[in-house]
Amino acid sequence: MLNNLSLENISNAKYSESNTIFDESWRKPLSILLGLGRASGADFIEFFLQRGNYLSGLVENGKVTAISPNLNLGAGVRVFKGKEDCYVSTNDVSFNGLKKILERALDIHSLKLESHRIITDINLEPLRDYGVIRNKNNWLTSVSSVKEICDLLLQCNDKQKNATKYLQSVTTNGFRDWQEVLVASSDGVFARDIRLNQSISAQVVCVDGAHRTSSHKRIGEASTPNFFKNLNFDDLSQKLSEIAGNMLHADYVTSGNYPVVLANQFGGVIFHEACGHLLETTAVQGNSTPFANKKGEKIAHDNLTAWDEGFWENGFGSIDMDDEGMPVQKTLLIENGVLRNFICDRMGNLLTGHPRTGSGRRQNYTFAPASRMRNTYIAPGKYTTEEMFSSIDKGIYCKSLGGGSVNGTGDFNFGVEEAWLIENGKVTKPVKGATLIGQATDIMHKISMSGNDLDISAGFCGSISGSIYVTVGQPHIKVDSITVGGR
Amino acid sequence: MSLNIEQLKSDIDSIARSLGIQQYDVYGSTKEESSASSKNKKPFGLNSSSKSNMLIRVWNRNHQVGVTTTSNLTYAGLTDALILAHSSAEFTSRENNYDFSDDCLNSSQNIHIQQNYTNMTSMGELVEKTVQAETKILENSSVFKSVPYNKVSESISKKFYFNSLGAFKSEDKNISYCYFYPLAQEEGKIAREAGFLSIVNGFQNLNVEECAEKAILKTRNHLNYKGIKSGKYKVIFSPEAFLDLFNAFANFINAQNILDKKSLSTIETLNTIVASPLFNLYDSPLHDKNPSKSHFDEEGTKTQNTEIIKNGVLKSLLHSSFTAKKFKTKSTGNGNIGSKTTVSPHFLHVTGASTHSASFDLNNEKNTIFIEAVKSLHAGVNALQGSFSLPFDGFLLNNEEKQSIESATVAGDFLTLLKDICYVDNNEEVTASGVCSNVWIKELSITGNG
Repeated sequence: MLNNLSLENISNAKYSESNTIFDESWRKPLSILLGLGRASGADFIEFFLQRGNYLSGLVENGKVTAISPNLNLGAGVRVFKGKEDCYVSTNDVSFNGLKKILERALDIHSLKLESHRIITDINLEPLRDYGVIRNKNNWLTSVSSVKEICDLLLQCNDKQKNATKYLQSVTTNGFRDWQEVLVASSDGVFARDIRLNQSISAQVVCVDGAHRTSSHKRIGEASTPNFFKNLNFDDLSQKLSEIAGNMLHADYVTSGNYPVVLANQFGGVIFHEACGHLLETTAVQGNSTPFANKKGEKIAHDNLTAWDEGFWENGFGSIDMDDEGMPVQKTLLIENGVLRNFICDRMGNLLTGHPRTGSGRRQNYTFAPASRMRNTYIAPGKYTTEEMFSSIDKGIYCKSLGGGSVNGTGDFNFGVEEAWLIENGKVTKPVKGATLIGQATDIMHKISMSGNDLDISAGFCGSISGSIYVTVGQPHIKVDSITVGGR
Repeated sequence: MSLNIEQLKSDIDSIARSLGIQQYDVYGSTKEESSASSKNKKPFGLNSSSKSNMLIRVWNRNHQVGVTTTSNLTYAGLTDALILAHSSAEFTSRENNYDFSDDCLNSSQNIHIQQNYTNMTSMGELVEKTVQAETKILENSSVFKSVPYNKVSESISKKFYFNSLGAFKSEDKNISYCYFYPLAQEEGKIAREAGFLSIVNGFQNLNVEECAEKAILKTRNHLNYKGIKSGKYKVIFSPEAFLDLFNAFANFINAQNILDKKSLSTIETLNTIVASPLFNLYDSPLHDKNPSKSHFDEEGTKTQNTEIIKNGVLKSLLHSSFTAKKFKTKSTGNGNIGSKTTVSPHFLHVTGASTHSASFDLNNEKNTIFIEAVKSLHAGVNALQGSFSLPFDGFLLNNEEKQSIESATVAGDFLTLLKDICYVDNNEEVTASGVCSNVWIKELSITGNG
C-alpha cells in the first residue's frame, strides 16, 4: 500500500490498464487517484470502469444479414463538491487517462491538483467481486459462439416463416451483451461485477392487399451463458403468428374512453410508464413528479401493490450491484395503494434524503448513474381474467402492448400491438391502431382488479442515463376507464 | 482532439497485413463534448467527455464482410477488433456483396473538411448561461415550478473514413445546442410542459437566452387549455411536428428497407404519385442552414442534395452504394456502414408547390387543429403498417383565437396523410432534422376529452 505520496512521485508512477480483468491490481492506482481528489478539496469521488463485449446477429428471410460485434472500454469519474456533481468520461483507461479526467472534473469544480500537498490514498474495502461470489468469471468464455447463435436465429426465423400467412418479411435478431464493471469511490467502495444480458427478438410483416400488419416479440434474460442453448422459441413463433393472423384484417379501433383489461407480462409497461418513472428520485429532484411529497400517502387503488427488485432470477433487469457499487435491494414501492419508497441512487439520497435502494444505473461509462428501475412489477391479486372480462359491458382487451413514455406532467401513453373488443363480458373481435393515454395520478386509482397470473417480460428503458435493460411485469389487470386513441 | 488518426491508419494497416487481411475500411469519429444543466438555479449534471470509436469492416477471401465496432483503440484492442471482424465474416450471407464506394477506389478523391476551431468554451461559461436561462424562466412567472429538462452543450468532433486502397476522408464539426422544457403548474389544473431546442454550428452562434424566451412563450401558450371533442378535423402540422412524423415513416423513401420488404413502398412505387401535387421533398445534407453538414457518408461517398418527391411524384429513393447497385443507379450518399449497410436521410427539406392563398392562413382558420409537437413516436407509430396514433401539443384555431388543447391524440394513415396535404405555406423553419414549413392536412382523427 502506498501512503503519503507527493504529486511529483505520483506523476512518475507507472500503472497501466490490466488487459485481462478488472481485479485487485486496480486497488493501488484507484486509491491513489481517489486520495488525490479528496486532497484537492472534492467531497466525494467515484470511478467507474467498464469493459464490454457485445455481439448481435440478424437473420432476415432465411439469411444471416449482419453480425455486429462491439468491443468497448472506458471509464468515467464523478466528483461531488457539496451537493453539486460533475461527470467526465474517456476511452483512455490508463493511469494517466484516469488522472486526466480527474483533473478535468476537479477543474469543473474550480479545484486544482496541488503539488505541495501530501496525498493519502483511500482505504478501499476488500474487493467485493460478484464475478467470484456468483461464479460469473467464466461467462464470457462459456457463452454461445457466433455459429451457435447464427444457427439458432436461422432456426427461429424458419419457424416464424412457416407459422405465418400473408408473409412479407420475417426478421430474427439476437444479442449477447457481456460487461465487466469496477467501481471505486472515496467512501471506500471497491466492487466488481460481471453482467450478461441475452435476448432474442422476432418480427413478422404481413400484407394482404391494402391490409398490413407487423408484430414483434422479445425474450430476454440476465442470467447464465446458456440462454441461447436452452432457448425454446416455439412459443415466440406461435405468438407472433397468432398476433399477425388476428390483426391483419382487423378494423381500426374507435377512439373513446373505455374500461380495459391489460394482459400480464409486457402489460406491465403501464406501471413502468405511468408510475415507475415518477417514483425515481431523479424526478423528485427535478420537481417533475406529482408523487414527490406523497410518501406514506395513498396514490393508488387499494388493490395495487408494486415492487422494484434489483435481482429477480433470470430477470432482464437483474444486477447484483448497481453502478455505484451498492448491493441491490428488493424495494416495495406501493403497498395496497400507499406509497412506501422511492427508487433512489446516491445523488437522489443527497438531494432528497430518501434511502438508497441500489438503483444507480447507466447504459455505460459515458453516462453518470441515475436512479432507474430494474425489475418492476405489480404484485398478483385474487381475480381471474374471466372475472375481469365479465365485469365489462363494452371495453378493450389489450393483449399485447408496445412501448410507451411519460413526461414530467405525468401524462403517459403507450401503443397496443394486439387489441380485442370486450362486449357483454366476452372477448369478441380484434381491433388495431389503439394507443392508451392517461394521467399518472388519475390512472393509479383506476387499477381496480389485479389478477392471479403475474408474469414478467424483458424490455429496454431510455432515460437520463441512457438505455438500460429492465423487466416489466404484472398479472392481468383491469383499469376502470382510460382514453383509447384511434381513428 | 487527441486521437492520432495517422497512427491509427498505420496500426490498422500493419495489423491487417499481419493477419493476411487484404481489404478493409474504417469509419470512425472522435469527439470532445461538454454540457451543463441547471436545477433550482444551481449547476447540475455537468458532463465532459472525450471519446473515440470506430467501425472496422473487413472482407475475407470469399468476399464476405465482417465488422467490429470498438472504442478500445490501443494496438491490442485494434488487433482484437480485426480478428473478431474477420472471424465473423464467414457467417454472413454471400448475397450481401458489399464493396467500396465508387468514390473511394483510390486516394485521388480524398476530402478533408476542416473548421477553424477555437478552444472549447469553458465549463464556467456553459454553467453561467444555463443557470441564467433557467433562472430567467423560473422568475418569469410563479407558474413555472421547474425546468426538468434543460441543457447547454458544445462539441467538437472529427469523423473520418479510410480504406485499404488509400482513400481517406475527414470532416470536422462544431455543434452546439441548448434546450429548455419548463413545467408550468397552475392551481387546480394539471401541469403543462413545452419547450424549445436550438441547434447551431459553433457555440458563438448559440443564443441561449433566446432559446429560453421561446421556451417560456411556448409553455405559456399552453396554460389556458381546454379539452376538445373527438372527431375529424382539418389539421396543420408545425415544421417540427411534420418532420418528426415523416422521419418515423422514412422507410417509405429508403431503398434498403424496400429490398428488405420493410417499407411502405416497393420498387414499383418509384415515379408514381405518392403525395399531394403541392408537396416537394428533398434530402439536403449541404443545405446552408444545416448545422451539421455532411460532405460524405459513412461509406465515404460524397453526399448530395437529392430530389425525393417532386409535385407529389416519388422521383428518387435514398441509396447506399449497395442499394444503388441493386437498383442500377448511383448512391445518393446516404449509406451507414455496418455488417449490414443501412440507409437514412441527412437533413430533409420540405417545400410547397402552391402560392399563398387567403383560405390557408393561420389567422383565418376555423375549427382547425394546429399541432405544434407530436409525442411518443416510438410508441404511437406502426411504421410498417403505416398507421399512427400520437399524443400532441397543439391548439384549436378559430380565426385569430388560439386555444391550447388538453391532452389529445391525432391518428391516421401516413400514406393517406401525404395525399391529403392541401397546403404548404412559405414560413420555413429550421429544425434539428431539416427545414420545413407548416403543412395543412384535409382531415385527421382527433381523440380528446372535451
